[in-house]
Amino acid sequence: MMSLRSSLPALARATRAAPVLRNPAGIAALSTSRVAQGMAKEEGPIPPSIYNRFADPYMLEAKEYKGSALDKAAEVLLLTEMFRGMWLVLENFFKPPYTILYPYEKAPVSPRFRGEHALRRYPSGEERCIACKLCEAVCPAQAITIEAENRPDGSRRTTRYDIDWTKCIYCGFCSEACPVDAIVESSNFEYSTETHEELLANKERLLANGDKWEVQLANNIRSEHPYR
Amino acid sequence: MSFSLTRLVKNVLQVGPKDAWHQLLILGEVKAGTLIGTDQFGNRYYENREELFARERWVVPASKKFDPSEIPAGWHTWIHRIDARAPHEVTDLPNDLKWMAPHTRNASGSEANYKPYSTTEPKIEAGRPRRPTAV
Repeated sequence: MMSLRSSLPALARATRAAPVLRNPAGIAALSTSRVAQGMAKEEGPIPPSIYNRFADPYMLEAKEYKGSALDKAAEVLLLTEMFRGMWLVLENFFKPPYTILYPYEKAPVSPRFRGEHALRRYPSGEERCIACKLCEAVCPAQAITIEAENRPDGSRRTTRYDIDWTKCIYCGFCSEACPVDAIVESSNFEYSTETHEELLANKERLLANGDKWEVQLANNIRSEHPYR
Repeated sequence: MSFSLTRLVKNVLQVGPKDAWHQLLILGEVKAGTLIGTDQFGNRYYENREELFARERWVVPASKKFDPSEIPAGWHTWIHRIDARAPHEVTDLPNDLKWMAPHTRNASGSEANYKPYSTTEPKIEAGRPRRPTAV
């Protein structure tokens, strides 16, 4: 204990010499260490710093004010700050409007945007989905329902591929799980409906979406394939 | 809403009175830029890089009944800045495969809207109550 107490001043000196401690007073404001508090006493009163959360900004502003008391009184009585603020509003009134005119101008959208689902086809027209049911298994909202059968030509295809868009949380796991890029989420978000039942998509609806948006879907997948 | 008279006068002089009136009726504002192309519905797509961010690409619709879901896939890609190229500049991807469907607008609220149905045969049959026998 004695040795510790005698070593404290040495520690303080060592810490003061350390180049990383740029603002010992600021550290003292936060620290409960006696070393740090001792250093603060040597430095004088605590200067305003980002460490001092309790500094009164109005007090600091009054201390830093360069003009005379008459200037300050004139500013307060003539409401100059109010007029400066109103002038800023007036300036903005005559600038070109910066609101996006929505249906005619549209905000940028990522090629990874997760919107309305679509089932894609191969260039030959054959549907891609092979009914592996990985999307159904990974779907956290259990919004996908798949039933599968063997077609007369022996290939395995879905007979039912339903997505409940009112259950879907648009996480994109289905398109990530898909081994053949069949189920994708398109960049379309303008498919709002008036009724609930229109959001219960079946296989025909999803394939129709794919046929309609294929130009964009192929473009999106190609632009993102280096990162998958 | 802010409004710039010099901008309005400049754009009206650039696009001409007829187009300016058409834009005022539909957009409520007159914008000037280079015509990039026109889609099958007659909507015209313009670009002006001098405009503010997110306002530099826009569509001037053919009619006032324009719906944003009317924008076809290729132009949708362009207007949302998913691709810098307009659809007629994308030549390395097929866009005329015979199974590709023509673009349709969101039909919700009209007679042509989507009605869900089952794509499989039902696996259970509803029971039929037996007819009461005559007494």
